[in-house]
Amino acid sequence: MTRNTRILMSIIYWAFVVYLFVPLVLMVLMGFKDSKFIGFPIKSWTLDWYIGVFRDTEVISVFVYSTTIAVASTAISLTVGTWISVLLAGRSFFGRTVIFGLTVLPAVIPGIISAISFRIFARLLGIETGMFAIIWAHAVHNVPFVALVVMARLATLPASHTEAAMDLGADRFVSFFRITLPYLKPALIGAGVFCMLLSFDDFVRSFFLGGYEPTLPVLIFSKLRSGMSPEINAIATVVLIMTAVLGIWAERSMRRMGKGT
Amino acid sequence: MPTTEDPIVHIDGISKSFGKTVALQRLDMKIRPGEFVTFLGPSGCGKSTTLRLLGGFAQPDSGRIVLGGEDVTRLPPNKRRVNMVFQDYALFPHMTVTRNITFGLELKRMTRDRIAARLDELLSFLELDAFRDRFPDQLSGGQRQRVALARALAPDPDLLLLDEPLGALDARLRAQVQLELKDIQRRTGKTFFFVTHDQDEALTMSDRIVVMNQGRVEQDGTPEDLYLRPKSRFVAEFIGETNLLSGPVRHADDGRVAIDWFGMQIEGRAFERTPRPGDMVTAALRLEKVGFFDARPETGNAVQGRVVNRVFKGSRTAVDVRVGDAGAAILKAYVDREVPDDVWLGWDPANLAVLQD
Repeated sequence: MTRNTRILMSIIYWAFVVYLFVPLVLMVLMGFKDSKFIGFPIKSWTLDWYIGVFRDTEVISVFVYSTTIAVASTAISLTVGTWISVLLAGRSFFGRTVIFGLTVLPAVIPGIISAISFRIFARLLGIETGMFAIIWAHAVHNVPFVALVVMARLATLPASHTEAAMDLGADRFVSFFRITLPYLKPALIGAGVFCMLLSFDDFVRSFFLGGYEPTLPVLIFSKLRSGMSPEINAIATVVLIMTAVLGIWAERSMRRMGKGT
Repeated sequence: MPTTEDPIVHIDGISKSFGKTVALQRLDMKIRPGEFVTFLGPSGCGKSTTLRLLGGFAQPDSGRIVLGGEDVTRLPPNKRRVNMVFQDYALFPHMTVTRNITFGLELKRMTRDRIAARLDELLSFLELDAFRDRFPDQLSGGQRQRVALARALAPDPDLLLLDEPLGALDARLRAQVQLELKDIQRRTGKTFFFVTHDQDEALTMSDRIVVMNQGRVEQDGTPEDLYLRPKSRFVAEFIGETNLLSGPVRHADDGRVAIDWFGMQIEGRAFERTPRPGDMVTAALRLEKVGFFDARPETGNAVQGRVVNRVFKGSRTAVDVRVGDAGAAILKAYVDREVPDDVWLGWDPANLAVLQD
């Protein structure tokens, strides 16, 4: 690479970074504006919007609602995804490819189509829209991500580790919980955080399957319809910081744990 | 109550195939308590299959495995009083040395006090005291090997299986660990079943070596038996360096076999079946058993020849000597001094082992 192309490449890269982060910075800045209208110039600054968010019981309860859905659907995804991975790992059997395909399928179906089909299916089964339906849809959608990450990790577990556990007196059950599961821990943390963020962020499924109580993205959407206000910026900034912290923590702990093995 | 003469392990005619590949063909073997038995052979000879069958990680197609008087052929690994040191040690990466060693003891539902006592005993026995709270990735290769050994010895198994556990160590450390391992076996009095493809390891440590080839036992004996009295060409060539001398038998009597080797009359010993006059036989002669003389030696075998090649190897020199009518054959030998080009070579007939194939 010549000097000139290198300079050009780095300019393009930094332009991309600016393009990526300027909207986020603008959004955060507007949350501190002492005016009801979004836009420059910002004449005076305030924390009122943030104080408002933390005092708004509706926002708080919706936040708790969304978090509950994220945690519950993630727990289900992790259990089912790990189960399928262990089932598919190592040996080959009739129908293995089919099961693998079916496992991954929910990840590639467009959100709107899966949301509508979930809605119809829920109606058929007589499942009421609301928390349970959303958890169910999120769990199904997130299983493929867990399965893929866990399968990749499982493939690196030497067969001798579980054999050694059996050799020392463990049955398959003990061997799974004391050897395999701890080995999968970094993968489970990574997949778990990813699932939580996907669930927390999901709009389409939550919108179609939600009852009277909105999830956070649905709430923001409905607030937007009655006009943009810096309150939304404040909510978004809080969510941004929390998800970023969670993501960075997951990435770091995965790396730390993966190192020893 | 078994007496010491009863075998601790009885392998009774086991066979095992993987698809079309035959891994073991009707293997029969008895192992006495406290023996250090090594299964030696090239990869694919069936030694690792035998180990896995003993450990319970695979089931034989036919035959039985009796361990301490109990038929364990169909028992899973966790129901056998057998423990294994794996080739990669298979230490649990998320557990400390202590947790690794006590893993098997906790599963035996031993009391806390007894587990602690057994742990301390093993840690001091294997000189691991200083590392008890370390994780496997904080240990050197030799330390990991000792932890794996401690973990396998902890539940007090009837039989300890060792799957090439020295393969991952460097050459210098390996020589030291060989002696340590033999010492540990002697002090614990445990029965060791060791698998390797390394003849040096086998000769150094074993009470008994079983040479395997293509799913069959080639020879079963002490290291001395295998080295000095090989039965087959395979064993003679697999262990150490050897001269192979072929020719027709002139006469044979009670194990003494006279062979015509390119016109030279030599005598060897047959340790099992004595061949008949006229049979073509091959005999094995170790390089260091060939002596150099200035004149024809008075006893034993003697051939005259001319040195054609010398390779200096430090403590000794490897020499190729052309011998026989018109220099028809080459005899390789080791010599630890200067020798002239024209020499007489001689050896004790007891060191020329007539092979069975």
